[in-house]
Amino acid sequence: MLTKTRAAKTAHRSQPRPGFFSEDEHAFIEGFLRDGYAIIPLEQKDRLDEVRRRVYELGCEHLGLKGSKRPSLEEFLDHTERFAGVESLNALRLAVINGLNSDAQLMRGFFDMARRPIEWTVGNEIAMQRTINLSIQLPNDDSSLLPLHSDVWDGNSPYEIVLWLPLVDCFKTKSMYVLPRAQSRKRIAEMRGLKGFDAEKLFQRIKPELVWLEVPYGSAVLFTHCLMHGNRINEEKTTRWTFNIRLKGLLTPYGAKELGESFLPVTTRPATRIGFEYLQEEKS
Amino acid sequence: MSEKARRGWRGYAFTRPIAGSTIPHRVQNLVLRTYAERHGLLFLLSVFEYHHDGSYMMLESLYENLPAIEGLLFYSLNMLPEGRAARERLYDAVLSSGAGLRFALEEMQVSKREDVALVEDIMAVKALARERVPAELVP
Repeated sequence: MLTKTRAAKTAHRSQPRPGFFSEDEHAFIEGFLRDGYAIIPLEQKDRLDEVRRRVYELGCEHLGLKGSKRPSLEEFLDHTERFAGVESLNALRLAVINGLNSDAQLMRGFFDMARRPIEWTVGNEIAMQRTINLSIQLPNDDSSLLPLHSDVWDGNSPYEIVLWLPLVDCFKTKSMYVLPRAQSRKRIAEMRGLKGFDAEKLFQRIKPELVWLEVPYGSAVLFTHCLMHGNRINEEKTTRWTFNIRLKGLLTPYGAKELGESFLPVTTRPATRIGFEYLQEEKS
Repeated sequence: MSEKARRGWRGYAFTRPIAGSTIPHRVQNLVLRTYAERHGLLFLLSVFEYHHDGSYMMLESLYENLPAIEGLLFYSLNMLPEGRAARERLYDAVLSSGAGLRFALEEMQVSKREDVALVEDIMAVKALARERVPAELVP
């Protein structure tokens, strides 16, 4: 009898939802698990505005755009092709990156702009890529394309996510595309049986399933690079300027990009330090 | 009495595998020289650690020479001794003699005591990735 009574009570208990997440956190996680990406509004937009202005100043300085030759910030970013050709694009990119890296608070700034959704995605003990990557894609330029790929195929850890952060409004071919998670998993499973697949043929096959991300300035994309993604020739009339930065849970497995060499811990928690020190002391 | 000027960064490389991969001496030296050039450092010919596991005999033999040089230039952070106590001996030897430690692959350095924390955080995570809590430490 007692056993029956207990069993009956247990059966009436509601199934607990896994994880102690708030409503908005839960909704975000469900969306990310479904799609593999999220478009997020950035916090502290004034910091992004500062970075954008610094990019403009560094770019103008590198290209010698002074006095009456100096365009407005909007013209410089939207119509970079008026001031730099494809052949000088990499030098411009490096000049801007090197200039930005002299700011010791730069990476902290990017992290703070998206901290909450980053923590919702990878946890709150985080490793962040040491340097940012900058991509400039002029209209109709075919020299800086990223064919359809998943970064995991290059040996990167599947636990990494990417913060893709534009300095301009990105839409249609001026943006990046992703194959949402369910389709990515299906297509990757299909590919495992194929030999010597061709990225372009694969792109054509899955083209109808791709999502071109619409990301206005002031927003960013967080995505798992397990997704198939890439870009095409920018057929819009304006230039694309985007940053990308990788992040991951500090204690999750690393791939080709290792801790120290490519990533640095940015939020190591005391229990991790204390636990490690305890074990080290026991050993010595 | 004036202090004799310190000169150069002594390269330190491995013959045994580093984080599971064997890196040819030539490649390690290329990385070390390129790093030194880029940072304007005088590069002193590398010392290669003995092959047998856990040996740091060559490293420890460099300690007495530390007051005469600017510091030690490791190919990688992954070459640091595994035990915390051995690493502490290294930090103490280097910092107390006014020298520094640099790691070419990771572009990191230890030039003061506060720099040790970041290196130790990285070493902790690398060690945690390799092990579980030993059963004898669980009551």
